[in-house]
Amino acid sequence: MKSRLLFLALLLVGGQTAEALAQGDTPAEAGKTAAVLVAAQYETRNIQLARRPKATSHRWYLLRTPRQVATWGEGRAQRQRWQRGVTGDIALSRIFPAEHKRVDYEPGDLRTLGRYPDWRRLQGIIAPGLLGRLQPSGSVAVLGRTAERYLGQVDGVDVEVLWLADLGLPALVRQVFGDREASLHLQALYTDDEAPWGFVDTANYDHLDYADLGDMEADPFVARISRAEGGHHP
Amino acid sequence: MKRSTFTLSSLALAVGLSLAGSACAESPEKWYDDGARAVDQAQQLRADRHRAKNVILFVGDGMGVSTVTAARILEGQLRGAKGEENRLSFELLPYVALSKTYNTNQQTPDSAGTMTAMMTGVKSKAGVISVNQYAERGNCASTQGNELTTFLEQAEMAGMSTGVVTTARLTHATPAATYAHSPERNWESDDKLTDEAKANGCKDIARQLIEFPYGDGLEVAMGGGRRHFIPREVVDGEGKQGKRKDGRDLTAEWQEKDRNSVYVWNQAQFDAIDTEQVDHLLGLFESSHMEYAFDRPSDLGGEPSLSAMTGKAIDVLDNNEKGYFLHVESGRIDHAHHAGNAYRALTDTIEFAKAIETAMQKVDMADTLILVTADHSHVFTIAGYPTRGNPILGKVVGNDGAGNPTGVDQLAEDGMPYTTLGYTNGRGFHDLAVGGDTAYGEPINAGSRTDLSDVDTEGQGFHQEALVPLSAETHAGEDVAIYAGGPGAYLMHGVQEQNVIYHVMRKATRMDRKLRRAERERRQEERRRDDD
Ligand SMILES: [Zn+2]
Repeated sequence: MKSRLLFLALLLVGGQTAEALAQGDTPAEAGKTAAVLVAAQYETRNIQLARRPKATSHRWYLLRTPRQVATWGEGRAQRQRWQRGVTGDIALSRIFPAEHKRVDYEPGDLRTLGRYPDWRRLQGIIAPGLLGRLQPSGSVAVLGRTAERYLGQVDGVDVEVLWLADLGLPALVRQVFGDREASLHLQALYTDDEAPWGFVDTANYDHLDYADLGDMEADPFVARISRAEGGHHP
Repeated sequence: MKRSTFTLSSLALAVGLSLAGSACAESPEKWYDDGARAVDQAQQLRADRHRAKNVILFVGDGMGVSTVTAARILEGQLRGAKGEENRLSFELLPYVALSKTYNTNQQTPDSAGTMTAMMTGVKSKAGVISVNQYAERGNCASTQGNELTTFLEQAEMAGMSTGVVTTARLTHATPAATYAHSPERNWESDDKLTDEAKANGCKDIARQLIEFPYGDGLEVAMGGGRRHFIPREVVDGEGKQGKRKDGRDLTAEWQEKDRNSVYVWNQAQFDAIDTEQVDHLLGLFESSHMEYAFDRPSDLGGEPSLSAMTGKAIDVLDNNEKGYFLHVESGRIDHAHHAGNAYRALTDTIEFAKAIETAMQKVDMADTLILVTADHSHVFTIAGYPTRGNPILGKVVGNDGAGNPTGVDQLAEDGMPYTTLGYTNGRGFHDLAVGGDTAYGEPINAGSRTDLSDVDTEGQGFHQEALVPLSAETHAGEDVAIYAGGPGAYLMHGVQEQNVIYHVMRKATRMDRKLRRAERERRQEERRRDDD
């Protein structure tokens, strides 16, 4: 089962993984790892501290190879998959497994929408320059790995990050905005053939282009996903 | 004799260009003289009844009149002028008519039904490609006996050369309606054909381009949409997978057709084409649609501009003494409007005008009919009372009581500034350049106002405000313009049904006579063969 998933993942990146690694073509903060595939489970928590304390949480998943990042929220109907092409262009697919549909955003479509995704951020979740603005404060063990601890203030917000340098992923990001605290917690982590889930094979899906949606107003699927727009924000 | 008539349109062109380029200060005298000169020119205009050897039909997808006006102003302002007085290349053509764009089943039309009207002379339904209104969308069996013959097909039968150039996919509705017949615009490759379609013999659109049965097939086909021509197992030169399930590589089949058939997919190959040696040119520069004109420089693969493709197409097509028909589509004005991004809709319109200018410079207007139109409009408006020369993508800065610019943003009743350009519906305001969330999915943000005081509305990432929240901004139902020059152009006048465009092209080229002659020649050839 596990080996089949790994095979699938390698297939989906079109065999570019090995080549990319051989050339050292890996993102800066995710590049110190020998793991080709990383699967992580996170929980985003929001806590309202003042007057009426309220907490919400949301679990989501990340699957990453050097050229692909997929994220999906628990209980959500869609997944996002970001892909980096050989030329460095980044494309997005929104995947709807229940309907067997995939909506593709070509790099040009993303630019039309004013979106210039940062590959290092897609791979490492946090903004690439964030750690540089914080102070290293020792290390702690998280899920059997060593995480570096960073503390500091960014634009008036208290920030704490536990960083898994070997994988280029945060184990914790905590931001305290006065009366509100937002945090991201790593709950499970797998690499390579340990990964319990894989990329969705969309080869037999119905593929739609974002640029064509405007001319598909009569299509019930297009009408429904457009209404439900809002996506999932890790 | 022929030469004497051609002066008219080229005169208008020359005078118009000099006007547009003049830095001469505005004055009451100048307004008066320019107005009088326009009438003098009109008086000299004579209907050019000569036969049009060539026809070029330019279609700006979604290029309504408000889009033309705003693009004209932007082009002028990019040159440092006030902008309103500017004229785009095709606005110098001497004849203009209005085109009623509705489909037989839709008040506000789509591109498939409208291009069917222009190419076949028969108005039809939304979503169908060159079949008549008796066909049911998506139903293959219903098309039998309801296919229409297109002007491009007739040009091939008459021995003319033919070409299609677009920035959209070559299999997209507008270009498809020139060479294909389908009850469903989305059947671009065989992966989308339904079981019913396959059972009843409907072919996908890409395949119809390659298996085109008339004349010797299209001489030029350039645009995007490579994925519909190659098998899904094949990864193309830009790392993208094909879509075909039947395993056919139509780009290879094109090249096998005859010795001088060429297939190119990148800028370097495009540049290397010897237009005198190539008989059949297929160019597929993107897996899906080509880039917007604004983004083309950042395309790492490299792809030609619409004007470069137009020039190259004419160079290949004009090798035929029997003349040619060329269709050029600016396919992405429509897409940028649907996304609510006026910046790209206007910059694509400006590139479209450049492509038309390229054609006007290359061809002899004495024997070439040039038509420029749109398939439909968009709900895009130029509103408020901005002062003269106010940046067209900017916020409204009005005039004071004395009629002089106030120099400050005009405020609406809600106390907030507003832009000149806007949409009646769509996704609404977004200024996303500082995005960066790992997930896409901006909520629709229409129907309420945003304080734009600190927003750069002239940037490429700005999305205009909209009133009615819809997943995408929509087409609009008002008429679009038809601009015409060259022999037969005088037939374009008044308010016309969109399908009249086909009939003007037929009349101007004397297609009836051509087809009769071609039929005679074909029979003679048959007899000769029987005798042998
Ligand atoms: Zn459209």
